[in-house]
Amino acid sequence: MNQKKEEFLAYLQKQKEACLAQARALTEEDRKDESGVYKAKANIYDIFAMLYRGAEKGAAGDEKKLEQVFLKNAETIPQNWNKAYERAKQHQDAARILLEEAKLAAAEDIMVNYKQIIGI
Amino acid sequence: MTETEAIKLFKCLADKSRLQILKSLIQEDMYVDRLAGRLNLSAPTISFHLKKLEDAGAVESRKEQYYTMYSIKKEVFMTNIIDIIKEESTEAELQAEREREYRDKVIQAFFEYGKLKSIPSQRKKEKIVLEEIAKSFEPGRQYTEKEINLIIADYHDDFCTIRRDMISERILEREGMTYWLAEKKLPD
Repeated sequence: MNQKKEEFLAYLQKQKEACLAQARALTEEDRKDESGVYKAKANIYDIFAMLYRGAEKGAAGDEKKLEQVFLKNAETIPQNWNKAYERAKQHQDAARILLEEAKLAAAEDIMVNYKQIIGI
Repeated sequence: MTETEAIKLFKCLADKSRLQILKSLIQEDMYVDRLAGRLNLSAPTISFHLKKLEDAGAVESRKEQYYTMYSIKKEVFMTNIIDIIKEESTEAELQAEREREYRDKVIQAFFEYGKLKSIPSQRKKEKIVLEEIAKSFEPGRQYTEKEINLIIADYHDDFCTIRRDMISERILEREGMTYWLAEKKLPD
């Protein structure tokens, strides 16, 4: 199990670095606004890593509890982004749509990979 | 073109994706999905850039059946840069411009989609927010307290505080239970 946990955290770190590299490349190409979206996306991988580590600490070795707490938080937190996305769509707020969509896409990608790595 | 408009336009143009969008639009008018396909960017990314270009006055849009078509505003790009540099503003105009920018900043920070997020604690900022809400009142019309509350409640739940502060800032006048907009002109 420890190996899977490490694998999941390594995946989050790798994705974060990939987003930051993409953000740097976009800045160098004079696409600063799009670069900002990748920075926000990188932040999401960081948030989920913190969530996972927090759940791991709280679970104190109880694998079932770790999974329950992490899945609950991973479901709850993007709900606000989803609400913000719907509100932005309703008000045709193009900047917010772009940002919230990127955050939600990252959250979805994380959950697909979590289930694959941990084996749910 | 004013100095502020020129800065906004130049800032907007300093982006590779936006320049590519303009390069496509100079050839012909296009809608979001077509631009997305041509430039290999997502539709939300294109919409975002188009909004910025539209705000800066570089493109305009029109509804065409199911699509929103975008076109370049050629006259903006025909402006001579030398003319922009030569344009002189008086100190009074510059001051008015600065005040307008400050107001816009405060309004953007405190309002979201037409709702007041919170009542500013700084008096100067609160006055700007109150004046913005007061634009919903018709000049010369008399309102009951209930009508005033209902209009303010569209912006924020704490309509009592806002109503009272509007009176103390002399944005609203009151006699008994009747309210009306003070005669001074509200800023644009």
